[in-house]
Amino acid sequence: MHDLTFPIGPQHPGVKEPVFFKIYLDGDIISDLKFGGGYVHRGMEKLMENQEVLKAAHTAEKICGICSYAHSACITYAAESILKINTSTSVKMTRMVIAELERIHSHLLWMGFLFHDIGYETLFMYFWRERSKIVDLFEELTGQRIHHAINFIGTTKINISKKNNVMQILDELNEKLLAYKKEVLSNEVITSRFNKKGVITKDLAEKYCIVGPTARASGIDFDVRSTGYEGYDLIKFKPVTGSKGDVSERLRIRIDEIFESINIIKQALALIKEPVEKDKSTYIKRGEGYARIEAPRGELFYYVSVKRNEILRVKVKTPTFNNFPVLKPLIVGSELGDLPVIVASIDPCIGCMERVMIVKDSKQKIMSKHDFMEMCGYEHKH
Amino acid sequence: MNISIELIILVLCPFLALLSSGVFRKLFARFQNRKGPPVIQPFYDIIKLWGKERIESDESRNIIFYSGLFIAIIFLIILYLIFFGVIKFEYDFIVFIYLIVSVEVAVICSAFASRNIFSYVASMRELVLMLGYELIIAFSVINIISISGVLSISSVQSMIFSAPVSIIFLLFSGLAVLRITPYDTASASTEISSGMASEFSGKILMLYLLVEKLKDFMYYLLISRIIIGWNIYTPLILLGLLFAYALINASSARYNFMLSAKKLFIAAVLSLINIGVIGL
Repeated sequence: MHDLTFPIGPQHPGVKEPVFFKIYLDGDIISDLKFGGGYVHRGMEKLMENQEVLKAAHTAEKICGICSYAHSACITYAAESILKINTSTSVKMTRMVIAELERIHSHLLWMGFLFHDIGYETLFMYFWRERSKIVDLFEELTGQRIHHAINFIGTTKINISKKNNVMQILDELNEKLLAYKKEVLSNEVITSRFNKKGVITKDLAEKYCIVGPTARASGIDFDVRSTGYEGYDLIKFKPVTGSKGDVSERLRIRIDEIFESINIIKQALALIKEPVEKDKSTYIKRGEGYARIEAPRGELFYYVSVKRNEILRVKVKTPTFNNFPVLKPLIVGSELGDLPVIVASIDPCIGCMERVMIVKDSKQKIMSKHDFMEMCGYEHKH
Repeated sequence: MNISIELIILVLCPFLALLSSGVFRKLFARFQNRKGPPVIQPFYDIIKLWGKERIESDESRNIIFYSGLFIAIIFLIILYLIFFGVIKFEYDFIVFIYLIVSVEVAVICSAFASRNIFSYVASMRELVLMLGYELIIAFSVINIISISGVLSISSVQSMIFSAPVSIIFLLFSGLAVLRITPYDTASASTEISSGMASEFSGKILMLYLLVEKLKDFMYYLLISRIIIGWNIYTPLILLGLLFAYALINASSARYNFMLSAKKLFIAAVLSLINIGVIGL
């Protein structure tokens, strides 16, 4: 028997994405919770079927509004793996610059939301101000602020030159971020909200197959970039890891990852010696390929099957799919006020994740509308 | 100050209360490097809500839900009349403190009666925090009464040198009364959405906003009167308070509920010690 049943979502200031939490409260402590989803299921995988590979890459970008380039890049790498294309260093480095800028943009946006959740509106505004400079830079480099659509099979459509002043903007960010880091990791109120909250131990992280910065904050030293895909083997780079596994550690990891990304961009820009060739005449007759990359939230995986240059089947696995289930053991037993912080700390992207398949007793079950409604805690009315 | 000027100020108080809220929002925005809304934005809000449709659930349609805010307005009018000396009697300081509590309790009753789960949790939070900050206010005022020997609020003179510690406690409890971070857990939108205002809409929401602004302005007036008395410098002190609270609101995160309640209770105990031991 619980004192109260408390609904959070699908539209609530505490959760920025359409997801539903049905919370059972004992006093101010959460004693149990249920998840609900299915609010932004758009059938993106089905939409990409029968599209040309290049068009599918642009459609894939629409899966997420924050890590849009990561989706486009991953499906392009998967298609390139069918033809076993080895792209030039300039292409690799150009793509790397955009990918790392996107990581910086994603982390800054996330930090803004995290501080908004604990009522620190000023830091929310400041982090988003820095983030808007990166978005402006995107507009200068690619012509688009969010959905860049720069990838072709084997090449890109943009050239990054010294005129773009990428490093000048990043050096300014580096300086400001050092000051912000000092503030956010030492402020008494912030530490009271973040320290020892939502602790994911290393064992728990391994059990739930956590990926990305959330896993690295729990002491799992794994970053897909370490495998050296698409030119990361040419760059001196060290994954940022921690051990405490709490919200504070996840924040520190993401701040340090921004510094690491700035360092990577600096090296990548130095390796762009010549302009990229814009040859778009690639044709994939038939084949299957896959790719995995380190998106801002963690490992992103794409499988593609192509026939006559058209997509037969695409399967996407986003980092939130791995990270989301761990929320239940983290939230149960915590205070109501800690819920938005814990949910935000794993940086969930529900729009990315909305392709749910339930496997129960080794039998695959596709959820119906009624199943979704039941899962969301609503009673079905005939 | 001349009694006729005081009466003019009393009539203007609703406008000044809304204006102070606009100034607070403007200052808060400037601290965040934003342009912010115009200073008269609260007036636009009130006018807009006056013309908005009322949407309520069947469960919330009850006498306490409707009457709570009207009772709060009546208490506020009496508060202002006592503050400006229109109603004056011995020991009105004590009645004044009771009325400040009563305004909040009336609003909480109305929110409770709405039977909205967010209002319910917000009301519970407000009640627990109120136990802390109202004790601080009561103990500080008792100390001020014992030092000055004045039993009527309209006769209070500057206490900045004779009771500085009590003034610090009053300023501190202002964080909770005015819902300034880090003590704004009763209105934490990311946790409990609109909180106590969840079920209010249209003219009722307008009334709720008016009660909140008048209550906040009364607290600003109370502190400024205790700091400097009632004279030509009062507007400056009011602006200073708005500036200070806007700065704190912009430069701090929010404690979680348990921690903020704990800190307020500790402060209440310290203010009690102040009466018995320090006496400032």
